[in-house]
Parts: sequence; C-alpha cells; structure tokens
Amino acid sequence: MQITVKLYGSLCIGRFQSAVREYTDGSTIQTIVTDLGIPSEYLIRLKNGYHAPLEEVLHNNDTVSLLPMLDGG
Amino acid sequence: MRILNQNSVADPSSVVYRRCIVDLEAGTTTQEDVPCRNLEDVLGGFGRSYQILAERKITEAYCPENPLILNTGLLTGSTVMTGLRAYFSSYSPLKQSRKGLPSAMWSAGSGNFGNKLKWSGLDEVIFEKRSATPVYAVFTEGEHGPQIEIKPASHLLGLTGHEKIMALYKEYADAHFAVIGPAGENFDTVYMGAIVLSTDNQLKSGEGKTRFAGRGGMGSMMGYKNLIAIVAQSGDKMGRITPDMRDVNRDVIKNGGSARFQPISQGGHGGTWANIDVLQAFHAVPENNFRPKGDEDVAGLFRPNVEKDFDIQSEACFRCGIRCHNNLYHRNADGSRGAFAAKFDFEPLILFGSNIGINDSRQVAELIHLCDYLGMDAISLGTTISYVLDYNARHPDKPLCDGVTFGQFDQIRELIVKTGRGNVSQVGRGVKRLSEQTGETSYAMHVKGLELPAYLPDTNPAYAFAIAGGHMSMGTHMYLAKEGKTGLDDWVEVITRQGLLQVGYDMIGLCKFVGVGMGHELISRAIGEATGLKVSSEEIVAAVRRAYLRGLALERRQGYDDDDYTLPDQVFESPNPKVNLPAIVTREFFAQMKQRVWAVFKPEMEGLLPE
Ligand code: SF4
Repeated sequence: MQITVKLYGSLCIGRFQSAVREYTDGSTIQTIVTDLGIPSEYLIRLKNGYHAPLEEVLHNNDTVSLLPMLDGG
Repeated sequence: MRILNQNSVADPSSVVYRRCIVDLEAGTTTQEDVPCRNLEDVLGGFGRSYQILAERKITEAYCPENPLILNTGLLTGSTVMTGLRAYFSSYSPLKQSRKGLPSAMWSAGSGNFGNKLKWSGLDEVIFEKRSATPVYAVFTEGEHGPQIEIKPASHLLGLTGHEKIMALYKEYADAHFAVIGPAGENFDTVYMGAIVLSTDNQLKSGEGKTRFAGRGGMGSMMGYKNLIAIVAQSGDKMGRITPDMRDVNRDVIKNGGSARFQPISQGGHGGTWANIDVLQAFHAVPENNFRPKGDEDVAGLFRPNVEKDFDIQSEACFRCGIRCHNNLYHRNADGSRGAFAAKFDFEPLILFGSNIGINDSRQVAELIHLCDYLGMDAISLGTTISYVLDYNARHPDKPLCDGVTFGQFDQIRELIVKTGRGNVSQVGRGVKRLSEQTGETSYAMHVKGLELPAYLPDTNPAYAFAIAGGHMSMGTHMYLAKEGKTGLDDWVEVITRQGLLQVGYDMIGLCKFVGVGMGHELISRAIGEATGLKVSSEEIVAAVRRAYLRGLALERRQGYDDDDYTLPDQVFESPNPKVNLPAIVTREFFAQMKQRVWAVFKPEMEGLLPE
C-alpha cells in the first residue's frame, strides 16, 4: 500500500520532507518509524492530521506526519 | 549550606543554609545560619523564597517592605549538569490581581552567577528597603566566610546590561554579575525590567551573550531598590566528579528529554527554536498578536532559511553539555564569521517576529538584541507591543504610540528603544494596564496580569493555573499539539498531576532542559550524589506540589478571585479557524475544567500559608 510520509524539523535531515512510500498491509506507524530509523520516543505522530499511537494500523493512501516533540523553556 | 543529617525529610532543620540580609537604606548587612523548615526550604529556589514572601503583607510592589530575594537551589554550584540556576523573588510590579494587589513572582536565570554566589558561601540574600543612591552589592568569598560590600554605582547608570557587566568585569576578574539595564533603572515607567546575568562566554568574548531572569519585573524591583548590580566573586569550586556523578550527567545528556534541546549536530532537535516547525504544522505559531493566519509567512524564521543569512553556533552555559543556545553571528563579506547578532529561542523569535508581523530574521535578530541590551523581558515586551500593533490596526483613526502597526520594523525598533529608556509607560507597564486604559481587553494577551509566551492560549486553557508565567510554571503549553488530548479528564489530570511539577526545576537549581519529570529517579539520584541527602522521588514530588500550591494560595491572598483565572476573551468569543488543532477552549469547557481543578487543589491549599 502507498503511504504519504511527512517529516518535520530535524527529522528531515538526511531523509526527506514528504514522500510516498510503499508498505505492506498491516503496517503501523511504528513500522514507518522503524523503517526510517527515527527514535520512537518524544515523537508527535499524526495519521491524516489526527494524533495517533505508534500501534495505529495504516491503510492505503493514508498520510503519516512525524514531528519532533519539543517543549518550551 | 551545611547538611548535618542526611535524612532531610525526617529532620529538615538539620540542613542549614546561609542567609545574608542587606538593608539597603542603612547600608548594613547581617548574616545568619537558618535551619530549613521543610523539604521545600531544603530544595530551595522559589520553594523557599515564597515562604518568606508569604510572611509579609504587601499591597504595592514598590514599597520598602517588599523584599527582593536572591537565592539558589540545592544543586546550584554542584557537579550536576545544568546546576547553575539563580532565582529572584519578590512581589511583582507587573503581575497584579484585578483588585490591584501585586502577586508574588519568581524568575530564574542560568549563566554562572548562581554558582559564584553559592561558592562565595551564601545560599540566600534578602535585599530590604531601598538605597537613597544607586549602589551595587559585592559578595566575596572571604577567609572567614562571605564578605559583603555595598558600593556606589552612579558610574554604571545609563549603560546597557551588557555594558554594565563588562565594566564590572574589569574590576572583578573572577566574578559573575547580575545587573539591570536602562529599563530597570526606569522602574517607574517600565515594570517589565529583567535581570541580566553574565556568562563565561560573554566575559571571554566581550559579546553580549547574557542570560536573563526576565519574568515579572524583577529587574524593575532591583531598579526601585536602587540596586544597579550584584557581583558574586569566588574561585571555581566545582567539586570532583565522582564515577556515580559521571553516570548522572551521562544520563542527563542521554535521556531523550534533554536530547530534544541539544544541537542538531549532536543528534538533537536544536533547542526551542525547532518548536516553530512543529507548531507551524498545525498553523499554531502566533502571528499578528496571537492570531495565526493559516499561511506560510513564518517560513522565513525556519532554521534553514535563517542559515542563509547567519552563521549559527550551538553554545552553552558553564560546562553544560546540552548546549541549547543557538547563537547567530553575522557573516562577513568574505564568508567568515562576523560579530554576534542574537540568540534565537522560540519565544523571542516569535514575539519579535511573526507575532508582530516581521518574518525577516535579520530584523528579528536586531529587535531581540535591543530588548536584551535594554534589559527587558522579551515575552512581556513582545506581547505588549503586539497588542499596540493590533489596536492600531483596528483603530487607525485614534492610534497608540504614533500609529505603529504590524511589520513596521523601523517604528517598532524605535518603540522598543523608547520603552527601554523609560519614555513609553503605556508599553513599559505591560499589556494588562494598557488594555484597561484603552478599554479593549479581549485581545490583550495576558493571564493574571502577566503577558503570555509564544504558545497560543487557544491551545492551552491551563494558562489560568500557571503561577509565575504561562509556560515556566505549568507544563501544558504544548500538550494539545503533542498529545492531541481534548477531554476534560485529560486536562484536569495534566494540570493537577504533571503540569504543576514544572516548577520543581525552579527549586532545585537545575535547568528545565534536563527534560525529565520531577518524579524521575534521575532527580533523586542527582540530589543524592551531589549532597548525600536521601530524598525519594515521591518526597520530591510532594514538596514541589506543596510549593506550587503555596504559590496558588498566595495568589488568592493577593486578591485573585475566580474571575482572574481566565484567558483573554478573544479565545472564547472568536475561535481561530486557521489553527489546525481542536478548538477545545469553550466557556463551558473552561468553567468545568476550573471547577474540577479547584476541587482538587483547594483542600490541599489549606494551611500552606502562615496565619
Ligand atoms: S540546558 Fe541550555 S540554558 Fe540550561 S544550562 Fe544548559 S546551556 Fe544553559
């Protein structure tokens, strides 16, 4: 299935900003995070614009956005 | 600080700290050893200073009875990484209840000043009354304990904060400095004066790389007291780093919480600046007075775009491996690095950038630099200016401040200079007072009299429960963007459990960018390793919670009633459809949230203040 993956901030470095990628059926957000070598803690994960857990199962044509989870100070 | 028994929870009085009382009117000083009353006293910072403030009934900030308390945290001056913090507490000239009473406030700063003060032998200084003439105070490590001198400071008047520090550095080579800028000197018309703290990097390079205790007008309090500067002089007494402490510091660096603030080159996300990328994904970056436009105008402030104009260097406070400072340098014609321009953190970047309609990083850098030099709190100034610009956009026929509005760099620049020099009290006294004068309060972005930082109130109803600045004292400003949680239960839980623990860092002497919660074993381990004290995570959390609730109780005593605990009306009346996050903050949601939070807090607040 085809998933649009969008990366933000420093997560783009050495990767990409937006790409359509192939994943097998049953893939989750965790599958993508692992595939891209991104540490899964301190990560904001959106599926089709809504917050979603790492275990969220994806479907063809979904969009997954990954953002670094920052804070102020 | 002397620790006579390592079980401080069972017997806090066995921890004794060294206090100096400076009577600025009489020019006299006294020192005493004070036994701690409770674990809040032991941990220090505002946990201790608020207990002192609570003993006084203060009805106006600028009065001789209002003390300015300078103290440190338990881990300030220790070998725990980021253990550098100094705290300033007082009843604030800026933050006040609707009844007109000043609120207690504290403000924290890094640099190396806190260390030097502690190494001089003092844990706390209470500045009483006010001097008839401008003075500075010198605390020096002496053979038989701390030595204190009060000296004339007229020669420092009118200098910027950076210039004052460099002038003092010529006289005190192994010292660090806390000074005010022109804004603090003009305390009558500027209530948002910051305290400017020196850094090693500044002293070595001669560049204005200062740190700030900015919030709540503590620099204006210094100005009122005619205390122009504080010098803390001592040798470097950083203890030996034991193998266990090395492990603690390695865990500080390695934990994912602090990694977020580390340089990109170090595998981190590059400090708070990176928040702009995250929040822009939701169109939640403040623009034009906290009103995102749903466009991409802020892209000019993204790091890759700024890199086209500036050299960016990750730098740090004294011996800190987190290195969260993003210092910008001009580029010379030949491509080499030029002079220091400014430090880019999320708050000043937005509040002197997109929130006032400026998205050119060179202009933003200049405004940040000006604010720093004049010694004002970037958040209070930026947010008050954005109100002026917004008002003028709405009322071109009867404008404020010569009609300046969004994006007008030269006019805004001039307004900042005039404000910092004490010539525009409308701005210098903050947005609450200004909006009450104009009668248009709905888009004045403050909560409880303190200007909001660069996180939209539309996304953070918990601002109402921050006791000393919206994001410094309630860790919920990114909760909606981070977690996407919209339920009432979630918000009540986050406010009453994790959110309030944010203030713990302003007790123990560490920097928030350590990035773990107060209940994390790393904090308890750091305290144990640095001091020998055995304090469990549960005990730390309980003490921080009491300290926070004491702060809330103190607000109530200073006249804050239920109507003060609110957000700017615009948030309720005109939700911004351009923000791609759930619009959770309705009046109904907010009222229910408050009711449930108070139901948790009020019983626990009983008995926390002296009769
Ligand atoms: S984390 Fe940043 S602000 Fe805190 S001590 Fe380290 S360099 Fe300074």
